[in-house]
Amino acid sequence: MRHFGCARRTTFMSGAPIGTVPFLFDSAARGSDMSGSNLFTGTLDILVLRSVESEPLHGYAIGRTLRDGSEGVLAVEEGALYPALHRLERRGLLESRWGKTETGRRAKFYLATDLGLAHLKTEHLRWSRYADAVSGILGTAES
Amino acid sequence: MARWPFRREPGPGEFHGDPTEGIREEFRLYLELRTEELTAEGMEPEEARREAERRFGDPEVFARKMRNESSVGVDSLGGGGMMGQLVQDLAYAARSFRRSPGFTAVAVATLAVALAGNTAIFSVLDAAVLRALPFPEHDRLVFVNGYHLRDGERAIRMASVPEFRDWKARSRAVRPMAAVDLNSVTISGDGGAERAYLEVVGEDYFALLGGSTSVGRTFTADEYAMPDGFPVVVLSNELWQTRFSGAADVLGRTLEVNGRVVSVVGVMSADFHGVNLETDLWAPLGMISLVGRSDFLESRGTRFLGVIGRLAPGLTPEDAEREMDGVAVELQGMYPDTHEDRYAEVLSFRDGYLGTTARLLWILFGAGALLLVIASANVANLLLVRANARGRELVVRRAVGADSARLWRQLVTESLALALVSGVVGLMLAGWALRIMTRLVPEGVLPAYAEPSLSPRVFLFTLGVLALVGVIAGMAPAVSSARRDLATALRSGGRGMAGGGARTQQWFVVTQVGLALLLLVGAALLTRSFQAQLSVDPGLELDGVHAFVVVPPRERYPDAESLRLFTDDIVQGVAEVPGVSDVVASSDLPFRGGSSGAFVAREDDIENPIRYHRHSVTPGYLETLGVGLIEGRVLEESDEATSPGVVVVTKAFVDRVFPEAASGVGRRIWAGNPADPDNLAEIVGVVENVRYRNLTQDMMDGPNSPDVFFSSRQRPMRGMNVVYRVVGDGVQAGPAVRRAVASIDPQIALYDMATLRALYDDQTATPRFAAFLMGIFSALALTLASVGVYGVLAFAVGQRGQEIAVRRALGAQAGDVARSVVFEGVRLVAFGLVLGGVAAYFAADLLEALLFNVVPNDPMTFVSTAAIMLVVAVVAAAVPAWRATRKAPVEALLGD
Repeated sequence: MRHFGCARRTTFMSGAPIGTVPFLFDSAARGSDMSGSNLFTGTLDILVLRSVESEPLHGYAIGRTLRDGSEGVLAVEEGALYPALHRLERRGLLESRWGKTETGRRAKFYLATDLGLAHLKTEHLRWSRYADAVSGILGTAES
Repeated sequence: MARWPFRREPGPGEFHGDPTEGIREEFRLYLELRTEELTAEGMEPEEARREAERRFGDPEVFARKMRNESSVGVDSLGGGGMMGQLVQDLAYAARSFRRSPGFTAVAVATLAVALAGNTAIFSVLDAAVLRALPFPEHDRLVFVNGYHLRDGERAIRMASVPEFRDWKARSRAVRPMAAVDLNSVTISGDGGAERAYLEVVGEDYFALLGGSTSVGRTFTADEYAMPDGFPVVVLSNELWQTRFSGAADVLGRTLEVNGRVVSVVGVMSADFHGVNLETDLWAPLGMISLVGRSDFLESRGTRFLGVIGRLAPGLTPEDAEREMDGVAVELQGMYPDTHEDRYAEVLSFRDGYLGTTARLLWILFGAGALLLVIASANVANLLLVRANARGRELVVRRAVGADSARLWRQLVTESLALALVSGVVGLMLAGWALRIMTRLVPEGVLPAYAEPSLSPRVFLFTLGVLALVGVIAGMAPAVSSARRDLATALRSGGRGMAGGGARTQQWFVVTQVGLALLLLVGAALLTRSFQAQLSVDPGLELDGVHAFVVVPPRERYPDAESLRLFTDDIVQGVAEVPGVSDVVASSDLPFRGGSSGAFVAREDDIENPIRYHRHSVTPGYLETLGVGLIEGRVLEESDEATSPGVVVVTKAFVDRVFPEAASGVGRRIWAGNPADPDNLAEIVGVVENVRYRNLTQDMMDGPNSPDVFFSSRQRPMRGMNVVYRVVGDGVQAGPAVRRAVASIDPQIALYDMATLRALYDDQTATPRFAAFLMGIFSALALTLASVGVYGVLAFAVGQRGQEIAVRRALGAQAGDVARSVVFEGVRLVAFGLVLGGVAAYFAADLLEALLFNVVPNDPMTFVSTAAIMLVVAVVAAAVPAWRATRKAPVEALLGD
């Protein structure tokens, strides 16, 4: 049986042992302010938006993109993706319509809206700055 | 939109509008594709399917979240301001209640019933105890009741006219003082004969009570003072309407009071009903001859007046009573004959009208409040469990930055919405509860001014209670969720009520059990007291005995001989009615009052008279009532007016007056002034003790003022009860009896028709009412508390499913598991019982004034109620315990 990542005993920011990381996918849509204490808020939003930036994908395909792209680091209960999709759509960042997969099965496809694309752009920028800052500090500490 | 490379397909459920259909289809597709992916990696298809499902997580949780998110997510769009949020919270609450109808129904029903009870009781309490009496400056109005202190007992409460004048002249604390004498009279003239309440009143009476006339005037100083000088009356608004059709020219018109013609000089305004609250007409004190004799106005020993007054500003009734003690001592010195052992008590109007009723109502109100607390605790508990089910959601939402004040608001909004719905249902039930309650409240318990209704005040009260319940019940889950931090919530898998919540729940149950015990003890004490009253042997055969009252007017029946003839006529006339037998007459009737107290002395010891109750009866009376003869004989036809004076006495009388004698028969007593030899009477028979006046108080009263029966031929009576037995259905004899009386004297009003059984039932009505209501409350409390116990244990079993499964897997027997659950319940209940028992021990003293032959801290009551609670708790614990044993070990482990 193959496991993605180290699902069961990750040491997280708080230092407390945790199980799966439901709140990563669970982040309430309120605020994507990354300068606050909630480091991962909005991360999933960016990743999802990114995956449907240019072409519509159904849920499974989005999940697969995320899994493949992160090499298993973002291991979660996979179904948690759906509430996130739902929420993004509700916020107007995604739109959806029903269509057919290559094998002819009916599926709901998601695609980033213009608002979603704009959101992705700003969040991407903030994320990069943030990541640079963290890397900078880590780099400094190492040297 | 051009970016979409394909056309829109119709979605599942789009046509029949089920949004979950689409969600399910999305999940289904995901699982299929994932399974295919895993199979492609080399897994067996079935294994792959299971693995896909495992990794997916609980679809129900996600589906629920997607539906929830749809509402909670809205606020991220900046849906504005406090009002907007409130509307959102309310909408959210409404949706969440719709989703769990069972929970909502239980919570609403519980609260609604408790609220309805509380509202009904409060409206009674408000009307009787809290609201202003119908008099100006009612807080300062007092009754001044004179009394003789004999054998530690207060007797003869009225005042004589000279005594009243002395009080009035001497008291500074109570002024003005006014005298009033209430009588039941026959009014006749145009419009037939009817009974009415007449108050004969002295100066200052109307001013003191704020009574004003709508037509004409009240009385002049001359009318008050001059004996028999001015035959005038003032009518109540009601009597004016019914008897004179509200005629404007009523002044100067006449009617007859007890056969005497009087003329109307005024009509009181509609809101005035006199100090007795139901008065129909008033006459000046000068006209005391309407109901008595003019010489009453000068006789210091003839005590018949009620005295009312207003306290000087800042003084209490106790202050006034101290002053009256001084006055009493002064008068004792001045008039040793008539004022020996004579005192006066000062009672506020409120206390005078209500007596122990105020205490009863407060206790019932308190019981209702306790019930409400128990119900609220249940609701809080239910909310807590629910909040906990959403615990992870709440904690996470806070962790990701949801405003924590906002979360609190939402929880409290939810419970307030619940309280509000309960309130609406409760108020609807309250109208109904109040109707039942007012029907249950026995006649005479509430003063006539008290008309309970769902007034705006009551409405406000209920609203206040609701708000309080809503906020407090909502705070519990909010506080408990606030205490948990992210890490703990996640560690316990989002289900645990680690620490805070579970502890809070347990405290709720302990409180519930304690309070329920309090109510149970109260109900048990009142019920035992009620039973004790029922078990009192009245010494009478109650069933089949009917009675009514007639009062032959003085004008047409002026002397003893005419009264004797009238009595004979009426007994004979009623006896001719078919189905009626054993017709007798008496000056008074058991449980109806009206016997006159007087003093009696042994023939050989006139220095030490004792008080007794005098009854004039026709021959056969004691047999009709079924009073058992112990020795000698009963009164007979041969005991004529001219033959030697004879009496029949109760056993208690002999014990009290002739304690040394084995037999009372043949002894002689002075029944009245020893100066008149006619007052010497011989005891010819002794009968069993009878509960004549009051079922419970005669216990003490009996030996102190025993009963003596005279022949009505030797001691004629004016107002009389005609008593008879009816074969078969007595109701049908009623009209025939009325016709028989009318054929003897059409001007005589027949009133107070009743059965002896009904009069007896009235005696036990108040304790029955108290016991019944407390019984209902405590039954509800017991139910709610057991629901609480059940809830907390069921929840704990759910929580500990894994632990239980492990223990089972390690070999623990089903019995061990069940025992541990039940033990947990018993532990909580026992703790609650100890706390409740201590509280009940002290609270029971509050009931003392209402109890008969039961001590408040009766150990039997405490032990048995605690046992009941414990049994109920074990039963409530049994279901979760059984469920725990049913949990298959593997299933429980996997389920986690």
